[in-house]
Amino acid sequence: MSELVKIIGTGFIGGMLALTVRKQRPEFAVMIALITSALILGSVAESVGGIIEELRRVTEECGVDIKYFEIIIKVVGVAYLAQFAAEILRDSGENAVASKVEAAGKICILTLVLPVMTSFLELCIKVVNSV
Amino acid sequence: MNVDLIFQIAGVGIVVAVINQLLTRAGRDEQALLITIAGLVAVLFILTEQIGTLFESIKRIFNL
Repeated sequence: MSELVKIIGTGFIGGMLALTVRKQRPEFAVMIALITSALILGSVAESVGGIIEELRRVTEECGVDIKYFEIIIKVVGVAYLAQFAAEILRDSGENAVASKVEAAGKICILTLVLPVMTSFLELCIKVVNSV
Repeated sequence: MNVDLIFQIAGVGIVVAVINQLLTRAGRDEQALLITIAGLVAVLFILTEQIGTLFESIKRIFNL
Protein backbone atom coordinates (compact mmCIF):
# COMPACT_ATOMS: atom_id res chain seq x y z
CA MET A 1 0.00 0.00 0.00
CA SER A 2 2.83 2.40 0.83
CA GLU A 3 4.41 1.48 -2.50
CA LEU A 4 1.24 2.59 -4.27
CA VAL A 5 1.23 5.93 -2.45
CA LYS A 6 4.85 6.50 -3.50
CA ILE A 7 3.99 5.72 -7.11
CA ILE A 8 1.00 8.05 -7.09
CA GLY A 9 3.16 10.82 -5.60
CA THR A 10 5.82 10.31 -8.24
CA GLY A 11 3.21 10.38 -10.97
CA PHE A 12 1.74 13.63 -9.73
CA ILE A 13 5.15 15.27 -9.35
CA GLY A 14 6.16 14.20 -12.85
CA GLY A 15 2.85 15.36 -14.29
CA MET A 16 3.03 18.77 -12.66
CA LEU A 17 6.65 19.35 -13.69
CA ALA A 18 5.92 18.25 -17.24
CA LEU A 19 2.99 20.64 -17.33
CA THR A 20 5.06 23.59 -16.13
CA VAL A 21 7.73 23.00 -18.77
CA ARG A 22 5.37 22.08 -21.61
CA LYS A 23 4.55 25.60 -22.76
CA GLN A 24 8.10 26.89 -23.22
CA ARG A 25 10.01 23.69 -23.96
CA PRO A 26 7.66 20.83 -25.04
CA GLU A 27 10.55 18.38 -25.63
CA PHE A 28 11.54 18.58 -21.95
CA ALA A 29 7.94 17.82 -20.99
CA VAL A 30 8.16 14.57 -22.96
CA MET A 31 11.50 13.81 -21.28
CA ILE A 32 9.99 14.29 -17.82
CA ALA A 33 7.03 12.09 -18.75
CA LEU A 34 9.43 9.43 -20.03
CA ILE A 35 11.61 9.42 -16.91
CA THR A 36 8.56 9.35 -14.62
CA SER A 37 6.97 6.39 -16.37
CA ALA A 38 10.31 4.60 -16.51
CA LEU A 39 10.75 5.00 -12.72
CA ILE A 40 7.22 3.80 -11.99
CA LEU A 41 7.52 0.88 -14.42
CA GLY A 42 10.87 -0.08 -12.88
CA SER A 43 9.48 -0.24 -9.37
CA VAL A 44 6.38 -2.18 -10.48
CA ALA A 45 8.51 -4.63 -12.49
CA GLU A 46 10.27 -5.73 -9.28
CA SER A 47 6.98 -6.83 -7.69
CA VAL A 48 5.86 -8.52 -10.91
CA GLY A 49 9.04 -10.60 -10.69
CA GLY A 50 7.92 -12.01 -7.33
CA ILE A 51 4.49 -12.86 -8.71
CA ILE A 52 6.06 -14.72 -11.65
CA GLU A 53 8.25 -16.82 -9.36
CA GLU A 54 5.19 -17.80 -7.32
CA LEU A 55 3.18 -18.71 -10.44
CA ARG A 56 6.08 -20.74 -11.79
CA ARG A 57 6.27 -22.77 -8.57
CA VAL A 58 2.51 -23.45 -8.68
CA THR A 59 2.52 -24.54 -12.33
CA GLU A 60 5.47 -26.88 -11.69
CA GLU A 61 3.63 -28.51 -8.79
CA CYS A 62 0.40 -29.15 -10.69
CA GLY A 63 2.35 -30.93 -13.46
CA VAL A 64 1.65 -28.50 -16.33
CA ASP A 65 4.46 -28.38 -18.91
CA ILE A 66 6.63 -25.41 -17.86
CA LYS A 67 7.45 -24.58 -21.50
CA TYR A 68 4.04 -23.01 -22.10
CA PHE A 69 4.29 -20.96 -18.90
CA GLU A 70 7.64 -19.53 -20.02
CA ILE A 71 6.11 -18.44 -23.33
CA ILE A 72 3.23 -16.73 -21.53
CA ILE A 73 5.72 -14.79 -19.39
CA LYS A 74 7.70 -13.75 -22.46
CA VAL A 75 4.52 -12.54 -24.19
CA VAL A 76 3.61 -10.48 -21.12
CA GLY A 77 7.09 -8.93 -21.12
CA VAL A 78 6.90 -8.00 -24.79
CA ALA A 79 3.44 -6.51 -24.32
CA TYR A 80 4.71 -4.60 -21.26
CA LEU A 81 7.54 -2.98 -23.20
CA ALA A 82 5.65 -2.32 -26.44
CA GLN A 83 2.84 -0.62 -24.56
CA PHE A 84 5.32 1.48 -22.57
CA ALA A 85 7.04 2.74 -25.72
CA ALA A 86 3.82 3.27 -27.69
CA GLU A 87 2.24 5.33 -24.90
CA ILE A 88 5.28 7.60 -24.60
CA LEU A 89 5.37 8.13 -28.38
CA ARG A 90 1.64 8.83 -28.45
CA ASP A 91 2.13 11.26 -25.56
CA SER A 92 4.72 13.19 -27.56
CA GLY A 93 2.35 13.37 -30.52
CA GLU A 94 3.91 10.70 -32.74
CA ASN A 95 0.80 8.57 -33.36
CA ALA A 96 2.19 7.02 -36.55
CA VAL A 97 5.38 5.86 -34.87
CA ALA A 98 3.41 4.61 -31.87
CA SER A 99 1.22 2.38 -34.00
CA LYS A 100 4.31 1.03 -35.79
CA VAL A 101 5.86 0.12 -32.44
CA GLU A 102 2.66 -1.61 -31.41
CA ALA A 103 2.56 -3.52 -34.70
CA ALA A 104 6.16 -4.63 -34.12
CA GLY A 105 5.21 -5.78 -30.61
CA LYS A 106 2.32 -7.83 -31.99
CA ILE A 107 4.62 -9.45 -34.54
CA CYS A 108 7.11 -10.33 -31.79
CA ILE A 109 4.31 -11.91 -29.78
CA LEU A 110 3.17 -13.83 -32.84
CA THR A 111 6.64 -15.27 -33.41
CA LEU A 112 6.73 -16.30 -29.74
CA VAL A 113 3.33 -18.01 -29.86
CA LEU A 114 3.80 -19.75 -33.23
CA PRO A 115 5.40 -23.01 -31.93
CA VAL A 116 2.61 -23.43 -29.39
CA MET A 117 0.01 -23.03 -32.11
CA THR A 118 1.70 -25.47 -34.45
CA SER A 119 2.07 -28.12 -31.74
CA PHE A 120 -1.60 -27.65 -30.84
CA LEU A 121 -2.68 -28.04 -34.48
CA GLU A 122 -0.58 -31.19 -34.86
CA LEU A 123 -2.26 -32.56 -31.74
CA CYS A 124 -5.71 -31.85 -33.21
CA ILE A 125 -4.80 -33.50 -36.50
CA LYS A 126 -3.52 -36.58 -34.67
CA VAL A 127 -6.73 -36.82 -32.63
CA VAL A 128 -8.90 -36.47 -35.73
CA ASN A 129 -6.88 -39.10 -37.63
CA SER A 130 -6.95 -41.57 -34.75
CA VAL A 131 -10.79 -41.52 -34.59
CA MET B 1 12.49 4.78 -7.14
CA ASN B 2 14.77 7.82 -6.85
CA VAL B 3 12.58 10.81 -7.56
CA ASP B 4 15.51 13.20 -7.73
CA LEU B 5 16.05 12.24 -11.37
CA ILE B 6 12.72 13.82 -12.22
CA PHE B 7 13.71 16.98 -10.39
CA GLN B 8 17.07 17.07 -12.18
CA ILE B 9 15.46 16.89 -15.61
CA ALA B 10 12.78 19.40 -14.67
CA GLY B 11 15.49 21.72 -13.35
CA VAL B 12 17.46 21.49 -16.57
CA GLY B 13 14.29 22.13 -18.55
CA ILE B 14 13.36 25.23 -16.54
CA VAL B 15 16.90 26.62 -16.65
CA VAL B 16 17.08 26.10 -20.41
CA ALA B 17 13.70 27.77 -20.86
CA VAL B 18 14.77 30.79 -18.81
CA ILE B 19 18.12 31.15 -20.56
CA ASN B 20 16.37 30.82 -23.86
CA GLN B 21 14.05 33.68 -23.05
CA LEU B 22 17.02 35.82 -21.91
CA LEU B 23 19.06 35.13 -25.02
CA THR B 24 16.18 35.69 -27.43
CA ARG B 25 15.40 39.00 -25.63
CA ALA B 26 19.08 39.97 -26.01
CA GLY B 27 18.86 39.20 -29.71
CA ARG B 28 21.28 36.23 -29.76
CA ASP B 29 19.05 33.53 -31.21
CA GLU B 30 21.83 31.11 -32.22
CA GLN B 31 23.17 30.93 -28.65
CA ALA B 32 19.62 30.25 -27.48
CA LEU B 33 19.39 27.31 -29.88
CA LEU B 34 22.80 26.04 -28.73
CA ILE B 35 21.74 26.23 -25.09
CA THR B 36 18.58 24.26 -25.88
CA ILE B 37 20.56 21.57 -27.66
CA ALA B 38 23.09 21.39 -24.80
CA GLY B 39 20.28 20.97 -22.27
CA LEU B 40 18.69 18.29 -24.41
CA VAL B 41 21.94 16.33 -24.67
CA ALA B 42 22.51 16.52 -20.91
CA VAL B 43 19.02 15.24 -20.23
CA LEU B 44 19.41 12.48 -22.81
CA PHE B 45 22.50 11.19 -20.99
CA ILE B 46 20.53 10.82 -17.77
CA LEU B 47 17.57 9.35 -19.60
CA THR B 48 19.37 6.69 -21.65
CA GLU B 49 21.12 5.34 -18.53
CA GLN B 50 17.79 5.09 -16.68
CA ILE B 51 15.99 3.50 -19.62
CA GLY B 52 18.89 1.06 -19.97
CA THR B 53 18.58 -0.14 -16.39
CA LEU B 54 14.82 -0.42 -16.82
CA PHE B 55 15.14 -2.61 -19.91
CA GLU B 56 17.79 -4.75 -18.22
CA SER B 57 15.55 -5.40 -15.22
CA ILE B 58 12.54 -6.20 -17.41
CA LYS B 59 14.65 -8.54 -19.55
CA ARG B 60 15.90 -10.28 -16.38
CA ILE B 61 12.44 -10.57 -14.85
CA PHE B 62 10.57 -11.79 -17.94
CA ASN B 63 13.71 -13.64 -19.17
CA LEU B 64 13.12 -12.36 -22.67
